[in-house]
Amino acid sequence: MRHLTKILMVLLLAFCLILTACGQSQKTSSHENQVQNQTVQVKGNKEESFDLSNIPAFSGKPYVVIHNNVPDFPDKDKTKKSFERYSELDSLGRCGPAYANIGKDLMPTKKRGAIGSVKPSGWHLAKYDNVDGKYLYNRCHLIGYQLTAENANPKNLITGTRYLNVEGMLPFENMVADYIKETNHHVLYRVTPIFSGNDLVARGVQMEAWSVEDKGAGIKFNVFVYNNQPGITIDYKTGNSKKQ
Amino acid sequence: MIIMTVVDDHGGLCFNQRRQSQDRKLRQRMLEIAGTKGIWMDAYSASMFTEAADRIHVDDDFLNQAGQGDFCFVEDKAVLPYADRIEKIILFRWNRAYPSDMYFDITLESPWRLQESHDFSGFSHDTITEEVYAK
Repeated sequence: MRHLTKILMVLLLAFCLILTACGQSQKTSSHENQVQNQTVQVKGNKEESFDLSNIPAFSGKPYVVIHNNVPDFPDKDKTKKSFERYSELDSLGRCGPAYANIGKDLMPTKKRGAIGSVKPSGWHLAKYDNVDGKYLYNRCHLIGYQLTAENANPKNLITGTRYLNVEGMLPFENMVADYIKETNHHVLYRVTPIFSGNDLVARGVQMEAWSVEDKGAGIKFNVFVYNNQPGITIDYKTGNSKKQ
Repeated sequence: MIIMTVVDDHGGLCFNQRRQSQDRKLRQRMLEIAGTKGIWMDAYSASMFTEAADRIHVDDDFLNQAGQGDFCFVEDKAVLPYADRIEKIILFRWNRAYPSDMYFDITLESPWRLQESHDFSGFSHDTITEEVYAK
């Protein structure tokens, strides 16, 4: 009888441990900023992992500094030769990193064309009164038009909130564009959309930049910009949304 | 002293210990305003003014060194501690939004009054606004 009780105790303890683990797993997966590693492939670079669990939950500021604002570019790319590379879409139709060494020669010489033909992963038309311009989602350039003159390139457009586009990404694009126009220098620039699991809408984008000729004295940053919209809840798996 | 500084749409000065932006026509305009008196600034700012080094007074403690009527170009310093000694503020605006983690720290409300304002074209900026504030 004592032996049977001992076996029952062990089984009960094991059952409790399984329950606890499941509960933890469910809690984690439903958390707004899901704890999950995403592996992103940067063409021509080493494979790197982006851990969303290191990013604090969105708290009303459009971006957070990561890695002490130090970007990670390979030495071989630190040249005065312009280039631009866009990743192939993955099996879910999602964009990968967009990477360029931006010089004046890549910048636009005419006004931007139409981009409405592109439907990025998770794309929805959603209108809200509390969103600037009403539309929740923009076709959001990874590398902004003012930098590399890319129009309707599906490898460079993601479903991004108005807030991500205007409050989050645009100030960084402006800073880089005006620096290049003024100095005629090059800036290594990479924007990596960060998806959690099989989500169709990115949680945010990692933006990195480094000015080449002055070795980062002019431009140097590494930030995560949130794909959030104050007052709106987004289901990142599908792109569905609702007012809070 | 007379403070010269330049801010973005959110009153920002710097991001990651770097100026938000620069423009050669703005530098020409500052030199034109200061004339033969020249401009006080720190070594970081002076590295941009290579074409007029003879009119640039470089001192990392320039806000303490500058006297009455001296022009001081401030890019990355707090000026509020010197508010009592500031006679005039010449504020330039980029009319662009940039990231920022350091801001101009004087609120341009009473006793500061806007005396004049005008726009001019920059080299890499469509429109730069010049505003002059006095007490």
